[in-house]
Amino acid sequence: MRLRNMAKYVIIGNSAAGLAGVKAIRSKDPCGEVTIISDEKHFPYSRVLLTHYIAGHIKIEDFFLEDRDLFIRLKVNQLLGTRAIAIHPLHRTVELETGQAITYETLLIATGGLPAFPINLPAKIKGITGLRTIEDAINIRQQAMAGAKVVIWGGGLVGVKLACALHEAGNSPEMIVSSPHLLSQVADDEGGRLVQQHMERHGLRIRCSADVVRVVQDSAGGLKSTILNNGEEIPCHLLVVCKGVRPNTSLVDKLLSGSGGIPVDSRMRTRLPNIYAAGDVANTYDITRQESCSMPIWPHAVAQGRTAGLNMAGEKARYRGSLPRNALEILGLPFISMGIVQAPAQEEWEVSIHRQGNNYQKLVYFQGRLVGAMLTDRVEPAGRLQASIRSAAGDWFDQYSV
Amino acid sequence: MLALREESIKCDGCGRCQLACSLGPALRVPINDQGIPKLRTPLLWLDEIEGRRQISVCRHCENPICVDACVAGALWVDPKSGMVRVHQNRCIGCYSCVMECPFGAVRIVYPVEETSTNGVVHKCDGCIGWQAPLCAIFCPTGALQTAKNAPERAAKRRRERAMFVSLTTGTVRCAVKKHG
Amino acid sequence: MSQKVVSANSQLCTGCKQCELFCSFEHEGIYSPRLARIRVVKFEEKCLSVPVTCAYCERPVCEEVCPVGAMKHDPATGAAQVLEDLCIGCKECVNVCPLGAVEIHPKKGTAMRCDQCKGDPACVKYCPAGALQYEPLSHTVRDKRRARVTAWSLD
Repeated sequence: MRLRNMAKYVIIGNSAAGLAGVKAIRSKDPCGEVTIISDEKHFPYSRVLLTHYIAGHIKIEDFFLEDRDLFIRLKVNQLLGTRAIAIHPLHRTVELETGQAITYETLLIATGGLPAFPINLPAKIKGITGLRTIEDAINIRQQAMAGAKVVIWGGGLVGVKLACALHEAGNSPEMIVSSPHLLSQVADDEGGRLVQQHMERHGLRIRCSADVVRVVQDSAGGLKSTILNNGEEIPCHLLVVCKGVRPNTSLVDKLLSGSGGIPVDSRMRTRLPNIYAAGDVANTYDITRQESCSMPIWPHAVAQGRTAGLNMAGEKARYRGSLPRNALEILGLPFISMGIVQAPAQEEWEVSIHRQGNNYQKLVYFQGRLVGAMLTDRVEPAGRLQASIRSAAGDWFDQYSV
Repeated sequence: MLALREESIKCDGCGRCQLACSLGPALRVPINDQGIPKLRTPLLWLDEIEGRRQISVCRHCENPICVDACVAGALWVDPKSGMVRVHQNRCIGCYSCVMECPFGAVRIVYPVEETSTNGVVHKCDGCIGWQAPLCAIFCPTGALQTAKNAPERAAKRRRERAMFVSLTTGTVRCAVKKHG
Repeated sequence: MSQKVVSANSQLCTGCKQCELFCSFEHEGIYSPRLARIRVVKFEEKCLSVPVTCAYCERPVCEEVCPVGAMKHDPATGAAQVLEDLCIGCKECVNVCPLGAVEIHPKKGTAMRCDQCKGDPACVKYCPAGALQYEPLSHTVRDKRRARVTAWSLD
């Protein structure tokens, strides 16, 4: 029988999944040694609040949801601002950039995702940024308040939220969107257009089916303008790329094959022994599409991190499956989408639509089961609909394959 | 910890629960200059879903999904009362909680006064400080009832049902006793 | 009615609550009536004790009312399950159970109900008075019928 106080838990990543993992481990094992490693120097913060900071709704202190002494109270070794550069599963060590090696009994990889940058953009030039960290948010807000011309490339959730946030901060950004409509990953074209019209009524400028092909720098090395695919040149001091995140799998790329995130089973175990993964870095089971893929949203990361932590500490908890879903408020217009929103024109699919002014309610059924919903304005039914989708999805615990 | 029981089938939509919820706290707060008590928006809602009436009120779950979903730390479990409570000043009106609650019991409400730019989360506050939830006190049909906590409710139900058993076995016992 | 259930004969029940103790030990590893899936209701003034546990309703309302699908039963054995990974502790099942047979685990915050101990219920095994039987309800009904007819026939 292994003595509990000899257990060594190591967690790489201190955002949603990493923090949930630490708390779950400590809820089961008060004595084992827990170490958390992160390349970010910040105490865990809520990444979802970045656009709210840019809008001026919150201050820096509001990012941190836990008491600052949490890690001290939970007796967790903090290695913040330190990057892990390699994992050696045979020796069960994590190698840090300082050269130090940390041994583990069980390891949780919660390294999250990195903003995806299209390859045609020059890497690391002043004026081009993603939006993923507090530093990004501070930089964007500073420049926006100073009157910089901001171009947002991407019409997804972050792009839309950022455009609204900049608008509320008094800046007037341009949105360049590759897809024919906004929110193409989570909304159908009618929903996307409804959102666009609402934003345009507030004065935002949005171009769909448009792409940035190159940027023009000024003499000081900063950004002067962006050139679109139709030849148009837009003056721009700051280009924020909001083209999604890709899983940050650099630590395991040599150890595991495959693209996308790290595949895990319902207990968050990877193929590598004693190694778990959770959060934006992991591939989990989408209960509506019935396939394994990456679904980087905050509630998934928290639930996965907690499940991983419980399993690492010996409790056989199972993760309740991923349901892609998003809720946001777009300049006073609530928008919620869940599951599969774009139904193919096939026999087994049924769609029910109710539209009245700004209120757009769409329900998608597959073989008679509710698999998706999209709501704007009157979004109160969303919670009950999510419960319906989950019940309709049935038992999926055994569907996982790693 | 209060366990609120709702039997939507008994609900006739009178709305007294919502009135009591709005009015109750006004009985304790100071009235304004015009002598009118300041009403708050009700913290429970009556919905009609697929022809059936549903009372959307917080169940104060033991493992609340809304608390996990909140990205701003505005929803929390009060360890003393066991209630799921709200820090309204932390709420950023993102609608994540609305998307999660399977009872539709958490909503975003925009304040009448333009003091903030976003709506904030509203949900049943458990009538902490009151002897029993006001909605249940005023419900005329018994659609909303309370017990001190879940174990007390279960124990009460067991006792009620076991009474039926005691009536029937009594008859058999008498029959057997009569003939030794 | 071929599903086996734990049926209680309150005439034989002495109110010793061994069933509660062994049930909690079987499921939780400690003797604690609060953690038992079977509870004994006592009417001291009538000298009557009635064990109450899940009746395996033909129409399980606890399963219907669960918003997250945590209340299920094993299709093969019929045994009632609580999928604790899904249970959010909303207490809807506690509220709706007509018998009061569902409770909430005080530490885990999840629902608990009788799972018939994988086909060999501990409460039945350890009841010293033989008041608990594990049999299809049709058998219990048949035996009760027989007892009643016997009582009449002695008239």
